[in-house]
Amino acid sequence: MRSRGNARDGSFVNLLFFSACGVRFAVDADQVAGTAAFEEESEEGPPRLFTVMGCGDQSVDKRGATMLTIKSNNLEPFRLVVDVLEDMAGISVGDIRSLPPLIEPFALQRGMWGVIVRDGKLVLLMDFQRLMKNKGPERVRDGGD
Amino acid sequence: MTAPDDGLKSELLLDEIKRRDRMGDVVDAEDELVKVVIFTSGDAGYAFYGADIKEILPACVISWVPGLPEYLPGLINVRGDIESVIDIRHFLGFERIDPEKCLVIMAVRGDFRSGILVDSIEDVMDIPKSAIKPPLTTLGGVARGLVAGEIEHARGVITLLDVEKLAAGLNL
Repeated sequence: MRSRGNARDGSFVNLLFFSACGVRFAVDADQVAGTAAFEEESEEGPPRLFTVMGCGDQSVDKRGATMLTIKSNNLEPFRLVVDVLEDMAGISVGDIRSLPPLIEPFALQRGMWGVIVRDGKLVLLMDFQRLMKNKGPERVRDGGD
Repeated sequence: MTAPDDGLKSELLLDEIKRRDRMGDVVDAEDELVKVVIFTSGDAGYAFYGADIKEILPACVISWVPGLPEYLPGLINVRGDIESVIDIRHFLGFERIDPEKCLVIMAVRGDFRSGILVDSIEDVMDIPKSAIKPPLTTLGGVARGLVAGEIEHARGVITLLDVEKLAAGLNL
């Protein structure tokens, strides 16, 4: 997927919106190489996002689960499963807020770096590269902690 | 009937009472007033200095963020500003309750800025600074490090908590 916006010129960034365990997330579409419907037929397969984030087992909405293929610098792409893929939209960089100081250190460790308000609700901005860097690529592929 | 007499005991007592009242007025006028916001958490009353409280928000939606410690229930949207929320119950030794049944008070002190979940607001009042007594109650654990003093209130002794100490306890 290709972002048409350019964050450096202050215009917009293309975000891919999805949810996992009832939490709304968005990621720079540039980080996603592809998406595919995911049928969970066995315990084998790509890890769930929350497992990778080290947030334990959460209730999962298995309807419409989607597998994201994430681009990885200097490494093979890796795959993650999220609950619901919503849409993709260009968001003005000016609408992105940093996380409050109390929250930010904990969030950054798990790849969350900002927040936007969309339809009156908060959407957490995820950086899969940061998540992988913090968790280590092998641990991400193995499913987190 | 006894005729009015300057030597009446009641007259002397009344003079003494009025003199003390006048003295008291002088003392009160010189005693600096501080505003306190009295709230409940668990089954007890607590207060913060009013100067540290920017506003009191009605129950609002708290957006959960994965991976936060137990004392941080998540984020709130305050007219477009995204703020953190602290669950003060965690520090006072009470069980967590549904955050959406609570109120949020916005605390600002220096660089520290966060919402704080409380059960209810009891009172906002001015009290003489001298009415703040050193803490005598036996608060345990983390709560002990948050206490600025104690004050008397209609509902009993209220523990005055210090936002600055709360912020310091969070390692800001």
